[in-house]
Amino acid sequence: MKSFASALLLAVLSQWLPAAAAAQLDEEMPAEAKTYVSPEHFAVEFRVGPYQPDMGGRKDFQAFFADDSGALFALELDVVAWRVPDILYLGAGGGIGWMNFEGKTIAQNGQKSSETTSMEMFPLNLVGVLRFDALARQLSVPFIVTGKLGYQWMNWSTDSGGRSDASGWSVGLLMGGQLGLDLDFFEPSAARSMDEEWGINHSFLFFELMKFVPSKASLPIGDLTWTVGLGFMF
Amino acid sequence: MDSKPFPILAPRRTPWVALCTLLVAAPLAATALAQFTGGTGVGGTGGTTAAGGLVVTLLTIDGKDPGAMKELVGSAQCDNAVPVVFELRGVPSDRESIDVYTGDNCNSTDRNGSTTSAVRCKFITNVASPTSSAQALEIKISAAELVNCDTASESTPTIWFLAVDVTESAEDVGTRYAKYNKLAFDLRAPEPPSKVKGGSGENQIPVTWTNKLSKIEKFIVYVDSGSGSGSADASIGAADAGAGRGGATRSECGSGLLREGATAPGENLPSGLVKRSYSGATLTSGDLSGDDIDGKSAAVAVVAVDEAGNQSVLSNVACVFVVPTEGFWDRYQANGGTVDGGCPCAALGPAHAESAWPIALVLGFISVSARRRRSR
Repeated sequence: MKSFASALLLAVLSQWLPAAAAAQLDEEMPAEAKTYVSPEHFAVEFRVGPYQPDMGGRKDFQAFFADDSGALFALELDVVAWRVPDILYLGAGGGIGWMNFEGKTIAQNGQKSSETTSMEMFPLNLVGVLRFDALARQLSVPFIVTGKLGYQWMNWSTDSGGRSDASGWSVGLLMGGQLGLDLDFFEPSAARSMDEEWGINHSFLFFELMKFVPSKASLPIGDLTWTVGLGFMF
Repeated sequence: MDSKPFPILAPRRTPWVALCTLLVAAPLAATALAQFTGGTGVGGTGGTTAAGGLVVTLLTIDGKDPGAMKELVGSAQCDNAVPVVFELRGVPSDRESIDVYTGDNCNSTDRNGSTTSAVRCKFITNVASPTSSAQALEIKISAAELVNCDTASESTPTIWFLAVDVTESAEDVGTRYAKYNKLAFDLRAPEPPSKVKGGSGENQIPVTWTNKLSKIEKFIVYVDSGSGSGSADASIGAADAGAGRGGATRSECGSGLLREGATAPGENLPSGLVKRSYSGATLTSGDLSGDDIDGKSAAVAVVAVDEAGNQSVLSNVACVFVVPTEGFWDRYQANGGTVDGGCPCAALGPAHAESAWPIALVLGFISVSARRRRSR
């Protein structure tokens, strides 16, 4: 009971003390506490980035929404199916996002009117994820490389002057490549505290290139774009 | 890295949960406390003020809940002499009646100016006391009796309820009185919105204005299609492009019904005039529909309405134009863009059946993964 109280006190104090003090606590902490790692089952990523549908090379979208790049706001949750410790994760997950574009309708004389035309999109996707973290875990190089391949269902709707014009789904392949910056590398003691307190094993900032390729039957609202965001393994 | 659960140092969220609970609970407790103290204190939110056992409550203003009206009486209500009803409790049965006054220190014996000839209070009415002090007494007063409705001002008169034997006398009521000083009169009209501009469109025609006003509840846009002489020509679009939303700045669509600085039309609108309301204190625009405008153009003016219901005079008069427009989807279709053999398609069509395979794949993947976990 006494050791439990001591361990509890140490863990709570480590939240508040500066890094130097935390380092001192490291030395005093039981060996088991230093090596504690909570189970890893999931990854979650919050992302934001620009988006401009290519419309299959047509200029229609640009004519109305050239000044609007979204932005795309998205959330992805992955389930870790297989983990090779300190080397890679293999998993699958799903994501959801939202973006909205606004412009002005065009009068017959070719000038823009005061009326709003808009397009709203909700991307939903399922992806397979292969995440290599060997660089960060084995070589202390704080990068995590991730590849994704999946399928996306993009719900879209467009209106003009407050009246709905059309809506539908664009479906197709989704692929992405991500370079993550492992934040554990910069503040190991904070990373360990997050794991002890919250069960968050790792956190990372990332830059991701992604491409959506809608099928031929779909509205061509695909794009090769980039997003940045924050991710957690837990 | 292996997962090595270590029971003693398993994730401990209790301090954080406690902190979050505290963060959520503290404001709630503070709010509850504020409501409690406001509702029971003298002159508090509950609208009661007690002295000598008498308790007065404001029941209705013009038959409506005073809380919903923020205990405010506006100019129109004052002019119409709407009834203000109070409830008085704890009236001593040994007093004949209740005198109602408005003014300062009306519980003093000099309330009628009998000793100093400086009349400080205005006698409003006298109501007979109930037969028992347990009975509540309703007292109805005309709003017009409490202030001078012709003066454009803001005031909060103190209303006194004195338990007396002889009405309008100088008798000393001691502590047998109650007063109410939460009923506010706002008889001042707000300023009208400035820089009103009309836009152009087919289904959505915006009207914009500059809003630097305070205590505003809503804006009313008046549309006069009858006397407009403007036409939707090439210059409209150009004006829009320069001024952004609501940028049609021409003023040739004059109006015989709308004039800057004039009093806003009343409830009975003249023929040809349309009225649209937009609620919100910070609004700077409102959208008209194409149906609001009869023809290709119309004159518009905006009126601000404050929390007391006072209306400003009319703003400057601007023009709005109905012009055929093309949106993204119109352009896409006009240029031969099709989707799945014909849109709008509100759901996944047969051509999208192919998209079912990834779902099957993922479900299979999750199933295998779950089975592996169970078998460990």
